[in-house]
Amino acid sequence: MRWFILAISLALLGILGFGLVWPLVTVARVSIIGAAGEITFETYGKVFGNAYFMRALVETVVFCLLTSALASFWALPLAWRIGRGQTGARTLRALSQINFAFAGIIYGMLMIVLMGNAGLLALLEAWLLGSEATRGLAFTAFGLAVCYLSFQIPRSALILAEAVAKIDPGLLDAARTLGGRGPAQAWLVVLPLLRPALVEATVFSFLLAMASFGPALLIARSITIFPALIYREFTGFLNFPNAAVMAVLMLVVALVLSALMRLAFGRPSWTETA
Amino acid sequence: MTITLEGIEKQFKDVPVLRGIDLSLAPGCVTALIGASGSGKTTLLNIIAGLVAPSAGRVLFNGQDVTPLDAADRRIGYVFQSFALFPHLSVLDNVAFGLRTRGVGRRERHARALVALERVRMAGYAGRRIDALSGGQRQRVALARALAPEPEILLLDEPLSALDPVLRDNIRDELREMLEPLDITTLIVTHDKADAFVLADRIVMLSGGRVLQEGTPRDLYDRPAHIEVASFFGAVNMLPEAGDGTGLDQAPVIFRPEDTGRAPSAAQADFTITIARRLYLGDRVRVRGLTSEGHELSVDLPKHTALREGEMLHLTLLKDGESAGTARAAGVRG
Repeated sequence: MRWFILAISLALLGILGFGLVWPLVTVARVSIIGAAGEITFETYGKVFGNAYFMRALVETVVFCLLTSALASFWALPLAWRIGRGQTGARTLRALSQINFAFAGIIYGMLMIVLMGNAGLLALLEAWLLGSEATRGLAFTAFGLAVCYLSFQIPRSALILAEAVAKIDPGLLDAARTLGGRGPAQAWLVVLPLLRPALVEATVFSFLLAMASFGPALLIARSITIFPALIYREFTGFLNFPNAAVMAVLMLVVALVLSALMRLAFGRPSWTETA
Repeated sequence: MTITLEGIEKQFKDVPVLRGIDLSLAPGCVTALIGASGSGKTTLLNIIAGLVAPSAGRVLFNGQDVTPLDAADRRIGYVFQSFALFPHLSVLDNVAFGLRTRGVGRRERHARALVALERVRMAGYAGRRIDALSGGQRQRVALARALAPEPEILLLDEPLSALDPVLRDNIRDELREMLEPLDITTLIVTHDKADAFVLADRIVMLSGGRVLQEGTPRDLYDRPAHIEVASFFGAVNMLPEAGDGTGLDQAPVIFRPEDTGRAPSAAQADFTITIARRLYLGDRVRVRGLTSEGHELSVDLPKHTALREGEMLHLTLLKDGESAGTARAAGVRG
């Protein structure tokens, strides 16, 4: 048994080393190697000085933060039903898990089918009202947000459902006997107890959104999504140093923001928030 | 406040848990609801609290039907078996919770919560986290939290069962001291006879969802109306009434092992047994033996009594009270 554990531990280390650390080191190295092979931060300067890139990064971060926070709160009713084992919980859990089988680009396709120029929504609107206000809705910021939320909500719900299942039902009964009705129970007991899980779900959702570029490639027209920009620099313009710098930048921003969210909100409070 | 239960019934998925409970709890009285696991005592407590709706029957507080009211509207204090303290709040905020939900301002609710904590001698722990408290301290905080909104009814579900045996004895005495001056109608669910005897003025014994007997602790111990009540509260001997000849189901004489003593002589003995077994119980010895008619009896004797198995033991009933004779008069049902 000890040899088996040692063997799989070494294999895991190998996978981590070659599959994660080595590519990361390579990307970091490419980002600081100049044309003549010298170490330089010139490419960083170029990327930081490019207003288009910086605006795309800020827009991407803001967009991902907003959709992630919204997804976590929106997932709460679903998480509650799954976590408390209420009617339909098993079906809802299974449906939420299907989400993992879908690549981001499939979500983009679904949005086009639903809200594209010839999507279901536009056809219905034209048929019922004779107008075309929803034509091409998939290609707006709203369409992109709906697309992101559609894969963020089920994943957040599964994380939150675990935390919901751990809430002692006696606490809710205690709140009731102390005069706490539904809203008071939710505000004073459930949400504070779920706070660490809400932060964890938001961080997970944020990282997922930051890394997602499939939907952006298909439908992002009004917002420039940073990972799609990296993809374009890498495969379209073959500008490896630029792509490497942007990748390092995105990684650092995502990790720093995740750490800050956990630090600021991730701990359960034990003093009243009056 | 008087609590009246009229024909309370409860079924869970067609399984009857409570069957026609009629009870009246007097204002200011501490009542223990006792019974074995599954007897329906916690369900009954939760019905009074409004946490569970009865399948039939009514709950009245001071004659007013509160059956349709939710727990949030019944103004009761409830101490849960697990204490159910909010882990994300400090001790003070836990105790102030019931005042907060009723719209009491921060300063006032903290002042009142502090008073409640002083009452249970926990004021020095106001700023502590719940997970930094011992079991006994949590129990006191749970009591303070239930009392802070000044309820007229206090319900306690197995308040001592989460504590270890030594702590349990100490906290039981303290709890009695804390409950005495409150003068509010209190109902304690317990399966422990010591809790019921020490804490309660009256005891209601449930079995199979029915009330078997209601009365003072002495009533239930010394004058049990049912063999199940008698045996629940400790070891018990049963003998057919002399000359009755109708068998145990009719009118057995019951007495407890401690209700006997050694008779000075065979002529003065109420009965004689042949010792079959001698059990050391620490503070006394329990002797088991057979009467000449073949009935098995257990008797408690001082621990230094010299006895051997096979020896004849002449016994007399200690008629201080009321146990044997009254039990016979009450007509114990088997």
